[in-house]
Amino acid sequence: MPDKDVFTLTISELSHYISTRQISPVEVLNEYIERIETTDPQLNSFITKMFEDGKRKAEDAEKQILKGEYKGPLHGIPIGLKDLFWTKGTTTSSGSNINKEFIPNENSTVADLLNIAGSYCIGKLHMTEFAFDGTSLNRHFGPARNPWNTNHMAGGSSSGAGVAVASGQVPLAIGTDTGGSVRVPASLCGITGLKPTFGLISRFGVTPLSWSMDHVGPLAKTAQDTAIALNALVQFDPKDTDSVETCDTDYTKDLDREIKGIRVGIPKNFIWDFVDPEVKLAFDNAIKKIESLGAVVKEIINPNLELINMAGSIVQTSEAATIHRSNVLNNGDSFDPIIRMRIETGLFVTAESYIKAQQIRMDEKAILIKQFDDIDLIATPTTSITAPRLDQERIDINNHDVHIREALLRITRIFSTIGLPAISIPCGLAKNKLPIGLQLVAKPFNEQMLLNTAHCFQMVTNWHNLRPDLTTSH
Amino acid sequence: MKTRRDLDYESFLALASQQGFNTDDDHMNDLYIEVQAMYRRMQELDQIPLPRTKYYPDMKEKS
Repeated sequence: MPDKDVFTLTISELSHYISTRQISPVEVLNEYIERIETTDPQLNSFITKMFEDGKRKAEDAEKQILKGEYKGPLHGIPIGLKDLFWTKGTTTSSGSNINKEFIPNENSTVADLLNIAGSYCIGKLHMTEFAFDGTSLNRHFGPARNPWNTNHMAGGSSSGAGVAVASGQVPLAIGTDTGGSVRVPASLCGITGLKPTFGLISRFGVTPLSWSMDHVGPLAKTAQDTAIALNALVQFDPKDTDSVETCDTDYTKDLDREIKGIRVGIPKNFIWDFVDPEVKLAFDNAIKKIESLGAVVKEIINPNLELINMAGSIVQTSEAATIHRSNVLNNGDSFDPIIRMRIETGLFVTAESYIKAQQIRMDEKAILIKQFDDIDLIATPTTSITAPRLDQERIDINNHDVHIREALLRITRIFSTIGLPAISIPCGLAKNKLPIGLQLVAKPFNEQMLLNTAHCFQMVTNWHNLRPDLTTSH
Repeated sequence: MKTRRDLDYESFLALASQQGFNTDDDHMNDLYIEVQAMYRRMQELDQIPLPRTKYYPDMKEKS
């Protein structure tokens, strides 16, 4: 039996105990159910619990393992899915009032792939309405609360995914990222979150926000666990027209490889227009650590990062309006007023502006990919700030009055807009004990380099091992 | 080059009505502010020359 609480273990640790039959999948599930029941009243990370279904799946996994049919590191591991992944027979609200009673008649590809790997879903996780917000606020389901301080936001839109992994309710959660919705909650909750290259993970059966910018990505405690998840999730899917066929890759292979000589570029402009000094300090220390591992750090300039965000905003808003047009015009009062107006605004974007924004995205992607001739990775803070208070709307950063949503998303949105793979890993704690995230970005389909660098960083730092103390009241 | 003009409130209401909005709704004033901000972004995009890479065929206007 493990000498630590099950909920503190990583997937690689858990899978060792399961595969060697030191703990059974049913025992693992019971530990997680107890953890959820104890902590969720404080955190509000689950929209729907699927414990009965989970128990059946855990028993099945147990029988298979006892028969010697062990499938791999996700076998018998319970997970959470953001509540926009379709799960056959279980409500999938997409964080909305409109879809509160929606029960899909088939699974998302992601849910199917995780089942094939032997994993199973024990709950549908909190999210902001239709994934159109970077906070963790939700008018219909209440806010998801940051486990490091429950008076603070968890980040969004995959808010429940961030909270559930950080608080030990599940060892793995799957979210989506259109402007930063995997990386922002990962950063604010002190865990690891990966947004892969556009098209790498299928979005079939995922309620869309913006079809040309939506990505699916895993959130876990470590880069190694993220790699394990990626192995299960990456598969060409003809049911997603943007799905990309890649060669078979074992993302857990070579995680330990030295990163000596890797060239890391740090953008000189835009990112630093307003960044909390504590975030900057943690970032600088993280870069020094990466440099000490043999990486070569250099400054880079891309004058058009703001333009990329502007184009992304127009595309995202316009596509969201196309998707939700009927509901927002006919049932506008069912939406959170802020989300409603954001969607409605998209109905005023002209076709020519939308197309121009798409052209700019492709143009800027080409320019940025060219920069990768001189560098291997880009490093930035994930967010400009640590987790804001739940009631906070604006923040002063170095005498700039900034809206919270802008401060949360302006850095991550760049790389969602142009579809490059990006990972957020914990790299520090602010004085108020809230986590700080480091974002690493690679060129398309170079997830292995991201995971390798993140893993090497985590081998020489302890930030990913820190856990919030949920016994302290805030 | 002619630029996109700012959207005045009357034009906004006409567009909104055409889209199917109830223009008597309480939130139209707030929506107008958001739409104006979106228009400013579209105006900025208007100023960007394309293509700046060789990603697309050259489609510059002939003089």
